Amino acid sequence: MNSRLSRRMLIAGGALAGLGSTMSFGSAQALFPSENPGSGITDSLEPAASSTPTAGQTSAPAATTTAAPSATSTSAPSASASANPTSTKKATTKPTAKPTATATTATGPKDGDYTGTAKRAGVYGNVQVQIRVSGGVITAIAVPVAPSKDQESIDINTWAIPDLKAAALSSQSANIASLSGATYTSRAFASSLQSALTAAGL
Amino acid sequence: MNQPSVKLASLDGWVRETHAEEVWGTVVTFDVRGAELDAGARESINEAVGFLHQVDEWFSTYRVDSPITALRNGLRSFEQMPEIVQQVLDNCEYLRELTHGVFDPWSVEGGVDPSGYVKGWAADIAADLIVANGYSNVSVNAAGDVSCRGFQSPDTPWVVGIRHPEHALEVIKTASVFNGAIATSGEYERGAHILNPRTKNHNMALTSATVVGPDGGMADALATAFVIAGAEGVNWFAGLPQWSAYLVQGESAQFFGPAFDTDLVSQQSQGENK
Repeated sequence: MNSRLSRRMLIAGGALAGLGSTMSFGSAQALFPSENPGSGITDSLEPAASSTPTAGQTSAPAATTTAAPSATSTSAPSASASANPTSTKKATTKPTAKPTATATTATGPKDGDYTGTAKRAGVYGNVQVQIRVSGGVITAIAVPVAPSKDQESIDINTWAIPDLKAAALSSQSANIASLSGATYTSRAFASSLQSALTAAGL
Repeated sequence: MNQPSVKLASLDGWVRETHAEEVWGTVVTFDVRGAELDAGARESINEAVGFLHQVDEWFSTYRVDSPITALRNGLRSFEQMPEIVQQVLDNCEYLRELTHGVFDPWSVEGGVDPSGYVKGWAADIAADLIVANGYSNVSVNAAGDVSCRGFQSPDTPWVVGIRHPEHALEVIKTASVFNGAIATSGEYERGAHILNPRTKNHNMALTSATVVGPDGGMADALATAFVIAGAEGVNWFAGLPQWSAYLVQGESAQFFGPAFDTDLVSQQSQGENK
C-alpha cells in the first residue's frame, strides 16, 4: 500500500495556510518514498478497490494550473520527484512556498503543508488531498475537494492526527469569534468559553 | 479562573452588539457586527429572540401544550400540525433517509422528537431575521450550533473554534464559516444522551463530531449522526460538496471538506466581496 500511495499521491510544495491560493504551486514531487513509514494514512487515500488510476482527470484546482499535467498524472515516482524549474516562477509570488527545498530525502519531508492529488479509479473519482507535516511526520490530513455526485463511497477511516493535545496547542494562537461544541445547559454556559467570547469587549 | 487558550478575534474597527438569551434549557448568544450599528440592531436581536421562544412553544417536548407534545401523545395528527412543524418533520425525514436511519427522530421513546434538528434550524432563521433587518454581519450561537452570516470584521468571515471534548477552554480546530452553519455533537457536556437507533444503545463511534455546511438544521442533525456512525458518515456528503466534517475519537481527529481549508474559504469570501 505504501508504494502505491507514493506513486499516486504527488505533492506540490505550497503553504496551505499561506498568502497564496492553492493555485500557486511549484514542482510536483513524491512525498512518500516507498520506505517512508506512511501506513497511517494509506487507507485514507487508497481504497482497496482502486487499481487503475485515471490520468489527467484530477479535479484539484491546485495541480492543474501550475504543476505540469504530465507530472501530476504520472504514476512513476522518479518523474514526480523531479522538480520542474519552469513551474517555480509562479511560486515566487508566495514567499512561504519553497518547492525546491522540500525535495524528498531519506529523512522524510520538510515541515509544512502540502497539497497534492490522489488519483482514484472507478467510482471513487479523483480527490485532492492536503497534509500537514511536522517534525517529519504527518500530523493532519484533509480532503478539501468533496466527492463528485456519482461517488458511492469515501473511505477516510484512518485517524490522522494521533495527538489531540497537539492540535489544541496549535490552536492557541487562534483568534476566534465564536465556539462550537456539544450542547450545554444554561448552568454550564456561565463558565463556558462562549460566555467569555460574548461578553468580551463590553 | 483559567485563561482560555484562544483570543477573541479583533474587530478591526467594527463595533458589535451582543446578547445572551436563556431559552430551551440552554443559552443562545447573538453577535451582530458592522462598521456602525444603530438602535435597530438591538431591536432586530429582540425580534430574533421572540422567534426562539416561539420555537419553544412549537417544539418543546417538555411543554404539555406544544403541538409536538400533542403529536407525540397521539392527540393530534401530522396533518393537524402547524405548517412550520410539518416542514421541520419533513426535513427530518429527508435527513433520516440521507443518513440511512442514523439520524432518526422517530426512534426515541415517547414519540417523535425533532430537537436534534430544531436548534440548528432555529439559529439559521434567527440569523436570517437579523440580516433581513439590514444587519448583514451576524452570528447566532445556539448552545454550540452557530449560524454565521457575513463577516466578523472587515473582509474576514466568521472564525469559529471547535471545543476540545475534555477541556472546555481549549480549542482543537478553527473553521471559517461563510454564510453557513457549524454544529458540534458529543456526549461530553450532558453524558450519555444520544441513542443509536440501530443498536438501541448508547455506544457512540466518536467522541465529538463537527459539521459545517450551508444549513444549520442539517449540520445539527448530521453532527449527531456522525457521533453515532463514525467516519463512514462522510459518504452522506457524496454530491454535497459544500459540506465539511471534523471528527474526534479519543486523542485522534480527522477532517474532511472545504471549511477547514483556509485557501478555499478566503477565495470564496473574496469572490463574495467583489
